[in-house]
Amino acid sequence: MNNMRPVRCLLLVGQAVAATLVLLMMAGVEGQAQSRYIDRSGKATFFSSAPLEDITAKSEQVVSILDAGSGELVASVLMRSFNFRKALMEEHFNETYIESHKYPKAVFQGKITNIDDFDPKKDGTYTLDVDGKITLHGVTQPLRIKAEARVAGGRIEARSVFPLTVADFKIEIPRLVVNNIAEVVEVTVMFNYQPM
Amino acid sequence: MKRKTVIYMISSLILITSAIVVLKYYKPHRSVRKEEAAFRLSVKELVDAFSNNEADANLRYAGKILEVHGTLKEMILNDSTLILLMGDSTQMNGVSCYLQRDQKDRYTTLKRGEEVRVKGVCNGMLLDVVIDKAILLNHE
Repeated sequence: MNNMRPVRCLLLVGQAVAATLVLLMMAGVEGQAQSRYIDRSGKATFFSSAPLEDITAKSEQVVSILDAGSGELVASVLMRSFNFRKALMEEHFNETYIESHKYPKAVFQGKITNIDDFDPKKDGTYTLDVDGKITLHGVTQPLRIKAEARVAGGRIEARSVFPLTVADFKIEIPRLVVNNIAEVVEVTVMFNYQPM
Repeated sequence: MKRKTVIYMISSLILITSAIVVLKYYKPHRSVRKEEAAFRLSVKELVDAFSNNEADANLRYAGKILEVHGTLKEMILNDSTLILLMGDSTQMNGVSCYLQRDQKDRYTTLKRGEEVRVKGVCNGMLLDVVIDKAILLNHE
């Protein structure tokens, strides 16, 4: 009878360990769910400065999901959501340069490499290093950018400015308008993430 | 006399071409209000079309003005952007409708679960099918 005791003891310990594991797993899942943020109306602008004219286009429909736990980040935008001042430019952008009918969206997929320094529960500003790849006009290129993030009251605001070279994405610019469109455009993205 | 006619003809030709060029260059943005919708369909029909074959649906609907009706699932007011999420709450994908700014008064009277009809430009599909520059049609 007496030697049953250690077995029972072991069983109890085993149960306790199992229960703790389940609890830890649940906490893990919950943590994961809480660490995801979304913005459905992120902003992206691009600015082209050429000898003959400056062109700006803006979209307020960038969709981005950020996992503040793992640092994984996805942002995508429909090319047709970019608005230009002149309707004709918008038409050329969609039909001739970006070919929206063939390549309707641009997608960035990346990871914040210094995510350990980032705490979405602590208000403040952070500089994030993001490493990933961007697909635009059917061409995928690596992209490494820096982003400024500001955490305030459970929301995350993020902003980044980076250059994109038009030729890297096989976007052809006719010689006739070579003085109207820059070879390198400046892209600005802004997000206002809310918990998902 | 003959020479004068030629000069008149050439100069009027130049005038007309430059007028066309200028008008084309400064042509106005399309108006969702004035333009007739190319297709009228339900959220489900539109989402199914994109889920089944995105490339085909893009060729058929993207860049066109659509009239879409369905259930209002969620309203999002982010900065100054008014977004309506339309569709069945059990389904993952629906329609994200970005309203024109002047729709704000009508937007604030909307309620979740009610049937709405919108008209706007289809931009394609991300998480949802996107209807842009939209106006509300049937709301009393």
